[in-house]
Amino acid sequence: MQPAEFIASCERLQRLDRSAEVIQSVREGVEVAMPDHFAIPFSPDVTTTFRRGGRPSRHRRGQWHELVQHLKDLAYLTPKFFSSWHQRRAADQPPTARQIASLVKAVRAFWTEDPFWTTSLVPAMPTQDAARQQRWVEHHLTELVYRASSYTSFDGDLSPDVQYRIGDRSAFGRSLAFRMRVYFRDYQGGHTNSRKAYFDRKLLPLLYSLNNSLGGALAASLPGRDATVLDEGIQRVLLDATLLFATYRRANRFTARDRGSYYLLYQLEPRTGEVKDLVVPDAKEEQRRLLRLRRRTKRKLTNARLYIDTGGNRLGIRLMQLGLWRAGCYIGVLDGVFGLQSHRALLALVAQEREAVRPVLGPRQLDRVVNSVGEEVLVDLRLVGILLDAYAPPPQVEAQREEAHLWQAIDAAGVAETLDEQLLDREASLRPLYGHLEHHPHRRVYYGLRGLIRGAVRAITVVISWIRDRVRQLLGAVFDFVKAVVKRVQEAGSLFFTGFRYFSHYLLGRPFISLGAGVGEERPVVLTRFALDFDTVCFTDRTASVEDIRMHQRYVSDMQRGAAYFLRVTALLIRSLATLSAPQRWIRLGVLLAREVRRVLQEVASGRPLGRLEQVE
Amino acid sequence: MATKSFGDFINDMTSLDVVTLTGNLTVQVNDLEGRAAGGDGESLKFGRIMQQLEGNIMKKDSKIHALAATHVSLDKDTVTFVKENLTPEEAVYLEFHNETVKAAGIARAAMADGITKLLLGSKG
Repeated sequence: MQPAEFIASCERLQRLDRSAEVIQSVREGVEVAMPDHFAIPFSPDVTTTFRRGGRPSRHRRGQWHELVQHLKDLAYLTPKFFSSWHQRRAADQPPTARQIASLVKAVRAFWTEDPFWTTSLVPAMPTQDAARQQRWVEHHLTELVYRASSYTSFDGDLSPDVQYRIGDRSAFGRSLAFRMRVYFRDYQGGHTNSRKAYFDRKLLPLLYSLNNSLGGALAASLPGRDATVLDEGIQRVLLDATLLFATYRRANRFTARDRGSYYLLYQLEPRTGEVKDLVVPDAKEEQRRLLRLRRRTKRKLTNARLYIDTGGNRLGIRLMQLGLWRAGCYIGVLDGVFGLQSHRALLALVAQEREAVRPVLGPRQLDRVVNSVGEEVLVDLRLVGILLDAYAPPPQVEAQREEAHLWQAIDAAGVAETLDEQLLDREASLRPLYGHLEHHPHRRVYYGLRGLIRGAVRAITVVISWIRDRVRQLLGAVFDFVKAVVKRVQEAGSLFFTGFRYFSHYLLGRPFISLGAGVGEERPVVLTRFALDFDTVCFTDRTASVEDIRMHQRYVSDMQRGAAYFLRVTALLIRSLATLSAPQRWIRLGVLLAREVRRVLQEVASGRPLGRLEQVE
Repeated sequence: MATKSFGDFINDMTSLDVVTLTGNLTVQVNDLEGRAAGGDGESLKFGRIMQQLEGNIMKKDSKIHALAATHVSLDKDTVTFVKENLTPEEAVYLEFHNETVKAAGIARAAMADGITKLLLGSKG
């Protein structure tokens, strides 16, 4: 089946054509073609998702991994749990029942602390019954990831909360505490599972420290010892790393407009040989150029203001690591220690920028970003700042424009036809770049969509070479591109598939079927089927036990609770699909659908009735 | 006869009928690809189960019996027919039937208006 045929069927369905031919075609598109091309199983349950083998499952697994990371960052889960979760992943094993139970419990805690769930159409998470809670999590995975990711976002995805009071036990309070850990506390006293979950008064002194690092920029709004509210401006700085980095650079006078030089000087472990690698020219002319560069660097070093430190937290380095992490080049911990990982990330960024379509630094400026001076490495922070600015996540409208540009470039290069296959075949080769989380529970993967798109767009030529299978460099743009596409299709597939199950059960005549415990090999069938007008047939096998019937009732009842929400979401998405210009390939269709999914999620988050309809329940 | 559209069905929703049947319909564990009981996982062969069920109903010596049937009209008048002399097990089926009637009524009320308009893009 081709996307064009599927879209045509959606268009007929949208016009309320319920012929068998249309239903068959739409179901084939959603239940067969999309799962195969998106590598997402149609069924959302844990067993199917984590089953390894011939069936697609990895992208929905990725959603679980992302959720675990966000909940760990928000201290609903411990780093120890995170580590054990990824040990199972690394060993190609599904999570244990106990791990799933712990995760569901953490989701329940998140659910109670995030106001989104009580103010939106999304049905409430069951208060009891572990199996029902797990089913709820399975069905609402996309919404959960979407919400949790906003609380851990450094990209300004979370707005300041004027209602927030210092010490509140809320998801927002956890989000603030998480930021304080990243900017100040984490990893200095060794790794520990014991973390402060909520922002409270004991953390206020750190805001004074932050103010010092920012040259007093926050002085007017710093909270006193007995304060109950946290100034909106301070919240904004904590929630948006781009704003924080800009403020930091202004305070330390190394913005793009500043004329002075501001350097970071560091030494790498002697045995790594990395410093030597910086100057291994393969031509005489190149040797001479590098020697000139080194002499010039030495002269500059003599008179420059050196970046030494900005307090015990090393905020400047943390922010630089964060920028490199968002650019897809850094996979280490944001810990303020500029070691080998950070050094390599910086080199990768410079190398990538040399291939940028519209570079923000010229070749000579790029030469000056990282240089060796004897056994030490000197980094020009002003130039690094300019580079990282170019990779900072753009506003929503700009990100959409860039994404459109990304796909136009792929079309123009004539590689659209091979993208689907390449993505399926070569995505696995990027796995090591996720940072071996099983061994490093304090590392985290960057999932910010706008930042990923920008990273990919900046070096689109590298991405296209990767699609053509002609590039080995995987960090940076390629990594960003794959993550962005995967995240898009994850969101599209996961929410649409789940919603379509409801649509199919309630409006396309697909029966609800439960299997009882039975005896031996035989399993009794209990079944409920709604026709479109809700005339209903129930059937129970005579050998079904009371418990079998109760189980089926619980199942239908759970689906009933979610029906109003999912039917609305799915109807909106089918309507959107019906209006799309049919792309040639499924992955592209997934990306287009994902944009609609995001729009619907934003509408859900706004608390307004979906599609301007009143809430029915 | 032309196929009914969503709109036709929704306009026709002046009444609701729920029928509960009992009989013999089981699935072999081997057919389930290792899936646990319950739920509606993809490895269940819906089409096959429905065909089997419909096949059983059509048989002359069918062992499928109607246990209860409920008709709810637009003005909410409700008539329920129940098989005589229910066994204790069948009493549970009846409870299941009554729950389904309730669920179908709520679902219908929720869906009738909204989904058509959402699909068509009406502003309601």
